[in-house]
Amino acid sequence: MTTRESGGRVAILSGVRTPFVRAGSRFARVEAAMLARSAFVETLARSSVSPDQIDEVILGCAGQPPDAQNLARVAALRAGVPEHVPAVTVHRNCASGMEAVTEGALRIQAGRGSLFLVGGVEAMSKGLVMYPDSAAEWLAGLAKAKTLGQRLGHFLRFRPRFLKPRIGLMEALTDPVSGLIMGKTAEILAREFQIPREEQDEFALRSHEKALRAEQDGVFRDEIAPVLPDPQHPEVTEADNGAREGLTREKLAKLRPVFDRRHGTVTVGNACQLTDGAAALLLASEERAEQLGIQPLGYLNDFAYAGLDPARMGLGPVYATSKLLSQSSVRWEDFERIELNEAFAVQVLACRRAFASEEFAHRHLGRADPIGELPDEKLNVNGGAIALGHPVGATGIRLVLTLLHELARSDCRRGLATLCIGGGQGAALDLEAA
Amino acid sequence: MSAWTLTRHGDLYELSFDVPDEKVNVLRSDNMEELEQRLDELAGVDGIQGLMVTSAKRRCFIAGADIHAIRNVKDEAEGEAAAKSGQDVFAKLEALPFPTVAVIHGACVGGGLELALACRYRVASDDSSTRLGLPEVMLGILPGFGGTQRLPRLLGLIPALPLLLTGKMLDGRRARRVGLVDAVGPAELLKDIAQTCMRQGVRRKRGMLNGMVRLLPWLRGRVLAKARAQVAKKTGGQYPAPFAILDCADAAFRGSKDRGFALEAKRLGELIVSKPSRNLVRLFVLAEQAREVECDAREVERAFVAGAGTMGAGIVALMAGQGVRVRMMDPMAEALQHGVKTVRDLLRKKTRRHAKPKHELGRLLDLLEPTTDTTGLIHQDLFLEVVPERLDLKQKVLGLAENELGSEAMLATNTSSLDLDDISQGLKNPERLVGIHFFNPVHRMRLVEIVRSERTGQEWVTRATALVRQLGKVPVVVKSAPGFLVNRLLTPYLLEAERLASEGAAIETLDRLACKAGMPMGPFALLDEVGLDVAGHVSKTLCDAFPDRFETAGLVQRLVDAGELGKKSGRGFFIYGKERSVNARVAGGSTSPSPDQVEEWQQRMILPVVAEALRCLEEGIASSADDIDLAMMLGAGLLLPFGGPMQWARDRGWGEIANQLSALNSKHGARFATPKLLNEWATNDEPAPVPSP
Repeated sequence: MTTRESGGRVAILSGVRTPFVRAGSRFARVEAAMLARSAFVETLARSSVSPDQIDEVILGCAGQPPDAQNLARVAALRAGVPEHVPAVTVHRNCASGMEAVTEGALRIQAGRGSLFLVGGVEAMSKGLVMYPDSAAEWLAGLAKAKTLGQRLGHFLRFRPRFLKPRIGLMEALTDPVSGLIMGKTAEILAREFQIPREEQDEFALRSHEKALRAEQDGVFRDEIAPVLPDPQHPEVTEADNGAREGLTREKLAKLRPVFDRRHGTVTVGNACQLTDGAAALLLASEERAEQLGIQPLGYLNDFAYAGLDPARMGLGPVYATSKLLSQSSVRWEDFERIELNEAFAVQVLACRRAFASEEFAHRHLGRADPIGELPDEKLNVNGGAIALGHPVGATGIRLVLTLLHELARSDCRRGLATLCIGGGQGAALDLEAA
Repeated sequence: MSAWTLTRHGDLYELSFDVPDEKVNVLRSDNMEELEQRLDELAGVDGIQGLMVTSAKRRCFIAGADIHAIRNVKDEAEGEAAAKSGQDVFAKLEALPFPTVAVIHGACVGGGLELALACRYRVASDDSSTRLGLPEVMLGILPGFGGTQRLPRLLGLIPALPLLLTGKMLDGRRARRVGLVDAVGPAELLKDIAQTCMRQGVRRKRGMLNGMVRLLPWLRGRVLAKARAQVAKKTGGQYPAPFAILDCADAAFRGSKDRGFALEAKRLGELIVSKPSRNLVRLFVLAEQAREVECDAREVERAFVAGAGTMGAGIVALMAGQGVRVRMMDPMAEALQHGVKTVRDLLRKKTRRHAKPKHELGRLLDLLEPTTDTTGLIHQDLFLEVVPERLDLKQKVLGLAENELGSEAMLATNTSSLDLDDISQGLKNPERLVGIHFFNPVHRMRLVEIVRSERTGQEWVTRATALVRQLGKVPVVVKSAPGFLVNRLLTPYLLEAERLASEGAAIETLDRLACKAGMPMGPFALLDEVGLDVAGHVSKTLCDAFPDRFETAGLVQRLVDAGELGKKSGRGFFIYGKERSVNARVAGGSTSPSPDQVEEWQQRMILPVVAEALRCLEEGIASSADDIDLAMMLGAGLLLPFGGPMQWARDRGWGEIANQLSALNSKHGARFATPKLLNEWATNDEPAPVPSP
């Protein structure tokens, strides 16, 4: 295990997110750049920080649209961030938003700037449809054909399979190394940890209930900005729409498993939703925050990323948290609230068992003792991605935002934001209330 | 210092124009003479393969003739002679024995375009600053340096007419499309393109229709007759210039070349000293003067506009169109959505003619930040409220904004009827509040009233004035009082028309008479356009404030009570179907007044406006007679062909006005009372105005 030099904590000044809405609903026509623009505009509007003071813009996005290369730059300019402020898009799959936070933090610690606008976005409605490689080769060949004869000959080489679409979203959710789509990695955890369907559905139901209650209580009021991301089709969107009222165990039980029709347990009901959304934060060094006279929302104390078997990527939080605990003085018990992203109900439940398992600690984490129990009253108290949705690149930012607001609301000090990452990684962020 | 510099590049010459100590190039008699000398020199040199005419100014080729020279022409003969000498210079340019090309980047307007037309070729940059056109008609004159002759011959009659008759401007691409320029390209490559034109020549395509119009006199006659009819309909016959232009364009295709040019010069001489032209030139100069303001504060980059109704959205679109980032707020989601749609549609119209309209629209919409809350105030340079005309609401909104705005930011209200001192009550710094009163529809109305009260700080008035200039509008500073200036002067006209109708005059007849007397629109058509509820609200404010002379005859109220609010509800004084017809509720008045009645009716509608204008001067609502004319011409088109109400009265003589008014006073009562200032001026005449520069 590596040890880490302490770099000092980084202040999270403020932040805001767009509502998270089900893919294909209100933001169905909105481009990722416009969603990210909305998050940037509203974050800046709610802060006294002037856009020209920003050192750099960092944006996480897992499925960057082909018509906005370096999405961060496009969104920043459209949001009115001045031209002289550079921008970079980062990608760590499901942790792209978190990568933007930690990348900003590292730059601050390295003295490469002291004020960063970071964000995450995913427009999952805007899934790409592609042609197979063979079609691309055929088209390239057509461009090379010079004479009429060559061209006619080339046309004869056309095959109907060239037109078979490749669905970008399905391919993005498939890990090419293990060859497994994310849902299948969840089924592996269900079998290995022997987590029955009923337990998964129960967890999913709780997530919806918690999210609905949080919304009723106005818990998200401070973290959501009402937006009209598309001026061509203006529509004020003020609230998330993922959580379902009137959901019951029976309704969940009726759903058919998606990834393993016969023996599977993972359904659309106990997995995270496909969602459109964006979120942004302002990061600063502690000195800069003080200079600006801004009372931060909270602090990022430390973070860790860890790698594991891609086929069991859902356990990423356990590995990353273990690493985080080893590299600093923070103890598991110190975390009073934990946001663990709900990619799949089974994956959260598997993490919970792994956290508490002595055997898992021995065999996989090189620890003598298990990390500890993960009680309900600490975990995702306002619901998670099963109810709120998982706009991949934006989720990392939402976890930080929701956690810091929750710490303040419940008068807690320290919290953990952690998520699993497609391709076999985990991320864990140690956060502290201001 | 000379304005024209001749340089030699091998066998090609470049004649570069750069008027010393001016930001833009204007043609004046001194630099025209100098041009003539240079052309004479060039004509004597052998072996020249070509000449490029260029400008050394940034983004300006030639902005036209000097407006003050136009004003200083004393009589017809002087005007005609000026045109002749200009024609002679350009004739020399045209007669050079080698190819010539005008290299156009930036404004190429009026005399500038006429110079370019005298060259054999024209090339223009594709830059957005490049505009070509002949706006002389808007000053009541015509292009007198050969423009009415060369343009129709180059383009053909049909494409040339809109340019000559409306003063429409074309960018490089559009100029290429109609054949006005021979090539378009990036500014940096323009001289190379010009050289290619000269060396290789250019083949011009002339459409079949243009050829037929050129060759068939009867077809040409049909085109001109149609144009004449259209012009008569549009101008109401108040302006002679378009008709003179049509005569000259006709002459371009018949008889000898010299005859056409001679006619052009003669007509210019007549027009340049005509009243309508004098008044239009005066309006132009007044508007330019109003836009001159010394202001150290930087331009507004970010603005917060509260209220997304028609006015709010119009203002937001104007600002975004000028590159200002606007946060547009309305707490009602539906109103905000509707407002954003309005802004989008206005900007779409604005960008329709752009080379990449979709992209340009997106760029402007990026400046729009719609919101339902008051976040983001701290970053703004300007806060402008456009919420409904309720005192408590305005006070609340402005109080809230004042607390969060930076100390450098402007705090403004777009009120049209409330008193500034009432609104600023409860503000921490009441001297900070300034009124910026836009007119509806914002994108078309050039006037903006800057409203100040006794308390308002001069700094804020100056900054508001600079903002209005930045937005491309014309500011007039007025003192806060009921109706401010434009509505205060417009209302007596509308009330008197209403009274005349209630006394038995037909509304369609009154509308017709008003138009004849120099109003852009009849009173009842105008009321319907504004909306009877809105107009009723304005007139009530004034009736309450000045009950001695403002009184409504009740027709407007009768229609409002019936839910007929004018054009927006399809029914008002008129019913708006396929054909406009008079509403039965108010129909049936006398349609055939006697000549005496006609005169009295016209006097009754116009004289109260003049009287009220004088009272506004007395009370210091407006600071000068010129301001009143400027505001009324731009804000209401009132007596536009006559130079506005003050110039109209001045031309008739103050004594005469006083007599007519007192006659009406004794016949119809106190609302025609003579203002003090009029009594003074009737005996001692108006004090000479401070001479304008």
